[in-house]
Amino acid sequence: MLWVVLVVSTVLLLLLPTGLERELHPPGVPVVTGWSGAAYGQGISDFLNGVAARDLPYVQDDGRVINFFPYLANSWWNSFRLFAAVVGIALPLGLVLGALFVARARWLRAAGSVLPILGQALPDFFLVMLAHTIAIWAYRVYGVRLWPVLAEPGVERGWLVPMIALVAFPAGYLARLTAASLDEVIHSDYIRTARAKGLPEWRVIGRHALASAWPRILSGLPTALNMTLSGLVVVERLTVWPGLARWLVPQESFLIDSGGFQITGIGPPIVALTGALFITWFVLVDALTRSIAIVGLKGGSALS
Amino acid sequence: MKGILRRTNWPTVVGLLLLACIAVLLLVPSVFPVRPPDQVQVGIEAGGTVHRPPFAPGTLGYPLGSDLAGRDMLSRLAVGGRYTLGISLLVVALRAAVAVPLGLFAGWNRNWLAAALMTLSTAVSSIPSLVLIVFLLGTLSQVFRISWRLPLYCAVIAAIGVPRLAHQVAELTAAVRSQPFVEGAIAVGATSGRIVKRHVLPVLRGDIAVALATEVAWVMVIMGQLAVFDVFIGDTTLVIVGNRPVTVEVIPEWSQMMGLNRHEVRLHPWIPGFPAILLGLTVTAVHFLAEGLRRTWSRRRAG
Repeated sequence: MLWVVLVVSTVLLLLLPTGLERELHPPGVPVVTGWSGAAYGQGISDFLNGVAARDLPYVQDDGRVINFFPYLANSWWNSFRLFAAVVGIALPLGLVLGALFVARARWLRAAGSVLPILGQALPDFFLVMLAHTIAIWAYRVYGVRLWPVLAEPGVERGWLVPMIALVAFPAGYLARLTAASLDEVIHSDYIRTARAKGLPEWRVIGRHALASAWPRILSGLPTALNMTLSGLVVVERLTVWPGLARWLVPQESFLIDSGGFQITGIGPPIVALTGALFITWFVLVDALTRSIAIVGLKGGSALS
Repeated sequence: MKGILRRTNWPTVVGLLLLACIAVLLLVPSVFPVRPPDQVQVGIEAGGTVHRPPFAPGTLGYPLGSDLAGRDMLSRLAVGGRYTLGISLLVVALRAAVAVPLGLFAGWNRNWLAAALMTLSTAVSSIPSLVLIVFLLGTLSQVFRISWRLPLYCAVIAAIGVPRLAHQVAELTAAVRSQPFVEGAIAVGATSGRIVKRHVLPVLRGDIAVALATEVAWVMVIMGQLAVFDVFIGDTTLVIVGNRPVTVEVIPEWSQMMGLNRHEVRLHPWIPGFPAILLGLTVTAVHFLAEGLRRTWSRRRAG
């Protein structure tokens, strides 16, 4: 099977009418590149010194160098607000969609089956571009402004498109996790007893089934939140949201001799800072969810 | 009839239908005469006026419009699909070639390698793949020659996913290892290699296929996300249209077409819109296929 995929992909690339040959052997001046560990180390050192001195130089798209330290807090606050709003919506939505999967009505089960797959499948950039395209089409054809489509940084800011694009994945992921967990417990004796006693279905699922499924759902929370954070930078960039992604643009890199060719990449200081924050966040959330899950298991009201 | 509807594997049907639509588009240049994908058109005279690109969809003989340099979107999208699918399949094949044997070895032996894979997988998962890939590409592209950019792009994206996939395979292998039929094979003196090949791998085949199908979708998503940050495989070039210089991509790869032209969404939405929609639909189709595969495998396992 692996060989089939390798052969198919190679054939697909070899059959290309243009580009690949040029890409592998680009014409023009010979490019001389080199790597300097000393320059890299100096960059990290400069970054740490800059943090201490509250002065971090940043090269903007237009070539101007600014101190981005004062903007950092504001960017993080903007990113955090969007992230918090997304989590606040995605968590309950995921639980509700997952619970639909074990509902008795067939159409509810179908919705609980299809919507989570769609939520996980549709990429964030696709949702943003689709939303922008629909808004422009509606404005041109009917003169209706559905939601803001951003052109320049800071001109307009809309919550709707970033929210939809970011909520889709975590809601879909948690819904599938919830559905799988509920599916395991829904045929248990205590659920049958609860139903036989005449409890309403929402209470059977919400009060009894969900209580047992809770630890497994929580174990998937760090992954869902981490994927949301990954999507956050992409959606912020596409919707020109004034958050963290603003600083994740290609930066001047540590090139000895570019020979006229500029290779760009995210500056190590930005990556170091972002990476450290992401890892801290991940460890905190992981520890939190694990402890909640352990408490839930110890309590285990539905199982005991 | 109700029974057939109930037994139908809907995710597979939806996935195959979507993929069939995309396949039709990819075959357009082979079946119908279309403009070459890199033919620049700086102006068309019609009705006494010279029309400058980009041409809107359905006008001047461009069914899906043209890009900023007057190149036919239909043929570029058709050719671009081969790039996107080809690269994503290659990346997943590379990833699988390393991760599957590594995972099998670690899961079977349950030694330090399994622990290392778990740690590495958690560490890599805690930083967004996008940031890691851009950083690695930016750094490594200075070490290697520029002509290595495409292999480097594929290798870095493949490498980022190896720990997670290997850890997944290792966990599955460790679960199968404790099964009675494996213990039986060990008891009759079969070698580890033979047991893994003849007994473990056939059991895991379905799970690995589902994981790899999902990986294809993830790689395409990563390619799209990277393009939003102006990281793509091809070069850009400057074309003078009228008196105006425009920067366009050389290679018609979907994510690159979307990422580089994303600012055109207000004035010419079809230029980034069509590639984004195609990329999104392909990812959706692959996700549905993976889900269908998972259901088929679960049913088969349930007997």
